[in-house]
Amino acid sequence: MAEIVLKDVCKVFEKDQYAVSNFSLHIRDGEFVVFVGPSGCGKSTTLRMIAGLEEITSGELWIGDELCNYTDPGARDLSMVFQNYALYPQMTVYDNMAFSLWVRKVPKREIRRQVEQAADLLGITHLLDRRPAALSGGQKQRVAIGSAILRKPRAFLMDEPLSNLDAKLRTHMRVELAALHHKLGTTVIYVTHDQTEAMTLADRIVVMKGGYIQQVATPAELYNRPTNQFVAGFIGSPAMNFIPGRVCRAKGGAAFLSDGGQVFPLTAAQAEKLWPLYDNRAVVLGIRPEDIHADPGKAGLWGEMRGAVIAREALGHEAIVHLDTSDGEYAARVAPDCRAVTGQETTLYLQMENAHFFDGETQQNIFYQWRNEE
Amino acid sequence: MDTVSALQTAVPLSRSRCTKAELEALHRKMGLAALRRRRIRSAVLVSLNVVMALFILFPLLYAVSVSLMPGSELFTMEMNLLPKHPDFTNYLRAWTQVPLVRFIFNSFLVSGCITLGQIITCSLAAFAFSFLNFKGKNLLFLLVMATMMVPGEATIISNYLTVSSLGILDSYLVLILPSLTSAMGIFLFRQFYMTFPMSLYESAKLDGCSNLRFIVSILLPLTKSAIGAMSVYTFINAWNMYMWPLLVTGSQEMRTVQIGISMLDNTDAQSITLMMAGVVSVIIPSMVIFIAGQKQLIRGMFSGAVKG
Repeated sequence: MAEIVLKDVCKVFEKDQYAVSNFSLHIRDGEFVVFVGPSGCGKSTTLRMIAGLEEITSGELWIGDELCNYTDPGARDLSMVFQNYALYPQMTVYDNMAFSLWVRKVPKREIRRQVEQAADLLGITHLLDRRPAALSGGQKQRVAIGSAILRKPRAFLMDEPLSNLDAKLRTHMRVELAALHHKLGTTVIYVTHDQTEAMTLADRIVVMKGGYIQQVATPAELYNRPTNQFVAGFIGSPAMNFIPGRVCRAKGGAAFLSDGGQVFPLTAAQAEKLWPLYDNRAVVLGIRPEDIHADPGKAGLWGEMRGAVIAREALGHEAIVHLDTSDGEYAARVAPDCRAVTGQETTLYLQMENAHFFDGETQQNIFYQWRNEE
Repeated sequence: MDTVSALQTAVPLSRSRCTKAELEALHRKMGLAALRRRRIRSAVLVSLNVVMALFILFPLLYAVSVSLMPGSELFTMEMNLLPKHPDFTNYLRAWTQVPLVRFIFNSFLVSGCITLGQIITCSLAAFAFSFLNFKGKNLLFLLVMATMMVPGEATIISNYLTVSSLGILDSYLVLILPSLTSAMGIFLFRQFYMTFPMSLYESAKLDGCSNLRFIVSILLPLTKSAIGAMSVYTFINAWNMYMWPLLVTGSQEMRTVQIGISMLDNTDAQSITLMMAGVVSVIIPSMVIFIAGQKQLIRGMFSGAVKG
C-alpha cells in the first residue's frame, strides 16, 4: 500500500495537443479516489500514465517514495481492472487468477492458497475450473477483480470496470466494491463517467474536463459547493437547473431578474455579495431539482417559477416534473403526491437559500472558489 | 392460380372444421410435396457441382489416367481418355529411375523449415506491428507490404548473386534462407492480432509479463487457427517452388521434387507417361496437407475479415 503523488503531470499526444494538463494530486494511502468527467476529459489517460501504459510527457509521478515516471508497468506493483475484463480466454478462471503470481515465480502451493482465498472472498470458488467464455458479465468482472487483489498490489487502478454490466448488476457490484475496499483498505483509483458511481464509491472525487482538474473534493462537498458551472451540472441527476439573467435593484435590496423576465428574490447575504458588484453583468442562477418544491414551506425565502408541465416522470418514491418556463425547461424533484399534471400551467417554488450563483462570463461560482493546493 | 386461391381459402376454413384424420392427410400430402421439391433442388445442385468439378479436375484426372497408360497407348491418333490396359509400370519405373525418395525428403525438409521459420519470424514481426508503439511503425509496415508488389522474378538474379557470393549454392541453406519470412505472412498475422483486445496485452504487462512470454503463453495459443492457415499456405507454396531450386541447386542430392520430376523427361528418353506417374506421386503430400488443414486454412484466412 502506498501514497500516490502526481505533480504537474502533462500528456501530449500530438504537437501541442494536451490530453492532460498540469495534473497535481496527492492520493493518500488507502484512499478511494474517483476520476470523473465526460469522454475525452483525460481521466483514462491519467490512469494509464499512473499504470505506465502511457508515457508521462512532463511532471512527476511518485508511488510511495519512488519516482515512477520511467519504471516499467510490471515493476510499479499496481493492479488494473479493465472495462472489458481482460481475461485470457484460453485459460481457466484459476489460471487467469494465478497468472500474475506465476509470472512472478511464486511457489505453486502458495499460489493455490492465495487463489482460493481470493476466490472465497469474491464468492467465485465454484467457477475456478471454467473458462471465461462460460461466465456471465458479473462473474467475469469478479474474476478480473480477483486477479487484481490476489497480488496485494500497492494500489488498484480501475478503468470503468462496471460499465459493461447491466443496471441492476452494476448497483450490486458497486456495493461489493465498496465493501471490498473497506475490507482490504488498499488505495483505489477508479475512473468512470457515471457520476452515481463516483458519488457512492469515492472518498474524494476528481472532476476533470478538457485535460484539466476542475475540482477535487469529497462527494458531499462537491455536491454542495461546486466550484463552477461545469461541476455543478455534472454532479447530480437530474442535473442542476441553470437560469441565466442578471441582478437588479428591488425594494429592500436586490433581486435576480432572469432573461425570460422572471424575478427571484435574494437572501440578504446573496444580495450583499451580488449587488452592486454584478450590476448589469451576466449571472447564472443554479438550482438543484430537489430545491424546487410544489408548495412553499413556512420558513425561508421562496422564488416562484411559473410554466407548463411538459412531462411528469413518476419514480414511485418521488416524481420529476419538467416545467417549460419563459427561460426554458427546468426539472423539479417533487413528492409523488404533487398535483402537477402534464399539459397544465403550474407554479413551483425555488428555495433561494440553496441557490448557487455563477459568473455568466467565467462560469465560476461567485460564492465559492476551489483551489488546487497539492 | 385457382389452386393457390383454393388453398388459401381452404386452409383457414378447414382449420376449425376438419377432423383429425383429414388434418393428418393434409400434412402428409403437403409434406411429400415439400420433400419432393427439396430433393429436386438438391439433385440439380449436386449434378451441376459434379459437372463443374469434373471440368476443373480434368487435367488432374487426365494426368492420373495417363500415368496408368503404357507409352504405346498415349501416342496414337485415337483419343484415349482412359487407359485400355492400366498398369503400374510407370510408377515402378519413376520410383526407380530417379531418386524420388530423396527428392521428396529434400522437399519435406525444405518446406518444413520454411514453414517453421515463417511462422516464427512473421508472428514476431506482426506482434511488433500490432502491439508495440515505435516511430515510423506505419511507414515500415507500408514498406513490408510494398515488397508484395515486387514480382519474385525481378529479384531472382540479385538474390542469386548474393547467395553465390556467400558461397552457399547447392545446399539446403540456400533453398531455405531466402524464404524464411514473407510479407504475406506478416500481414496475415497482423490482421489476426488487430482483432485481439489491447487490454489483454496491457494487463499482462502490468502483471509483469515480458513481451516474449506474452507471445508464447498468451498470444500463440490464441492464434492457433492463424498458425494453421499460415502453415498450410506456406508449406504448399514451398513444396511447389520451382524457379529458385532450379537456379541454385545442381547436384542430384539437393534437388527438390519439382525439379526432380522434370529429370524424368529428357531429350534422350522422352516419356510423358513416366513423368505423369512422378507428378501424381509428388502431389499426394501437398494434397494430404491441404485436406488435413483446409478447415484451418479457411478459418484463418477469413478471421479478422468478419467480426464475431
